[in-house]
Amino acid sequence: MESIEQTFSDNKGNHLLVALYFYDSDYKQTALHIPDEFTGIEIVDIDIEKAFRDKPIHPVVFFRMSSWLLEQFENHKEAVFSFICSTEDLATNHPDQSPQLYRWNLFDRLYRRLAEESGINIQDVIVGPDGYQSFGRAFYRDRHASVIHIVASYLQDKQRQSL
Amino acid sequence: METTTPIRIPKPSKELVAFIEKAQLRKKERMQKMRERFLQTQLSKN
Repeated sequence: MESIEQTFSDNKGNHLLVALYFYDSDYKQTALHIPDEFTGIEIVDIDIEKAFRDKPIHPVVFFRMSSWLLEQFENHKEAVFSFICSTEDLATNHPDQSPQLYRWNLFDRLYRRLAEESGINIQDVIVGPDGYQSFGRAFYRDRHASVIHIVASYLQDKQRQSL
Repeated sequence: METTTPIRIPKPSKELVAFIEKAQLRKKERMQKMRERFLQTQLSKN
């Protein structure tokens, strides 16, 4: 299974397109350095896109999306979900925030609102200096914490050595 | 829901930067294809 897609209409002319992309075993092992004994765990990245980029979208679709994501997480018992903020330009009413930071804050508010009682753990990774940061988040269950630690350690080892 | 301390990597190595950029590019391609599929479906309906 490579991906699951869902569309949310705002009933005002635009749609939010959401996909869950399941990384294959090769990527999990070679890119994420997840050991063989954990290959049964699914690593799933969340993709979110507007159908019509130049049109606004009603915020109601984000709440429906968040409910659907939570439902999918509950259905996939062996999955770790990740969200990597896209770097694509995004027109917003917050010019002081980079598109990544805007997406990050929006996603964070929506998901926290829904997942408070769900027992989901969160690990954030912020890469880069101030003003040039990339944001990523992993959602995981207690029993998958070791995989998160392995990937996090791998990423932390990639610090540039000071000269 | 529990939140662990964010992992901050202010000085990523070139290797990590390349890894992230590649992941972002793959994500961009996936989203573009998803959008194209949706728009094609809409066109077929009209």
